[in-house]
Amino acid sequence: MARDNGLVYIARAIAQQSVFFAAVSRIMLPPQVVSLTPMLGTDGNGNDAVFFRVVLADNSVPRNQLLAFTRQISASIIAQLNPNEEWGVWPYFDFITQSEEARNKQPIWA
Amino acid sequence: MGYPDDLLQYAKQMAEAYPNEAHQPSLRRALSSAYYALFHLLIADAVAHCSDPRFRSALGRLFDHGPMKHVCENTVERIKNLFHPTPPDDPERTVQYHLHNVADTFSQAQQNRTDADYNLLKEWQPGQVSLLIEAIEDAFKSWQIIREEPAAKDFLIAMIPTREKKQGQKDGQKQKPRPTLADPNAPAP
Repeated sequence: MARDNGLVYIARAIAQQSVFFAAVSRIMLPPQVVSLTPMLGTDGNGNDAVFFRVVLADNSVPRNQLLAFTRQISASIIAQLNPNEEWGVWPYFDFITQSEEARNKQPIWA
Repeated sequence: MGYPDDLLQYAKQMAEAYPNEAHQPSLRRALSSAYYALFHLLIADAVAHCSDPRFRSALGRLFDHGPMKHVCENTVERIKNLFHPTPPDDPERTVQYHLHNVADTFSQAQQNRTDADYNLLKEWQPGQVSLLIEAIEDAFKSWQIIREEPAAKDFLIAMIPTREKKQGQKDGQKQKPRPTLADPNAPAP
């Protein structure tokens, strides 16, 4: 029987999830951010990833400044957490307003 | 107006087709089309230096989503600290800033496209999609600013698939140094 004794890499964020989530909870963000929810998984290419759901307070940022604001938030999260280098997961960001988040339907089995 | 611009315009129309309703087919088409707009924008510029349209078409088909994203992620990692937290203050940093914008947007957009096309559990909202398309539109603007710069051409050249790069990526995936349980610097769980 063939054996493969090669190293198997497990991203630190996945191996130490409670530590990772604790690190995320310590991230400092401006008051316009209502919540920051991380979800660990794999991206479309099969690489370890963290998917951040960032909920923003309605009308807390002028629409014409929203893109720049979300970029500042993404950059701030990356700078504080260093997800790729320190935790081995590539970060993805999903920004949504509080009212749109509330409109999201529950999964059909919920 | 070229095909990438047409695709981006189509994406915006799809995103705005049902402004008061989270119409999933339209929003998913919008996200997918917006990603492909950026995908084809980069490929079009990469093959533009080839004068024969048949060669351009054949060369364009060589580009692949995964390796292009891999180049984008490497680019983001390489230059992410160059201008953060301070804004760009000289021409070279400005080029890197726009290159980072293109690469990061491509990486995020490709994942959104994957979710939009295949992850039916994820529900999209109009405002959310509008913001993502605006980011791609902004990446278009960044690319127009830097497309003739050597750094932008190097970025495209890196995306051209070769046998050596494919092998290197396979090796890199196996040997990519990542924080693991065996990492002596890792804090105790």
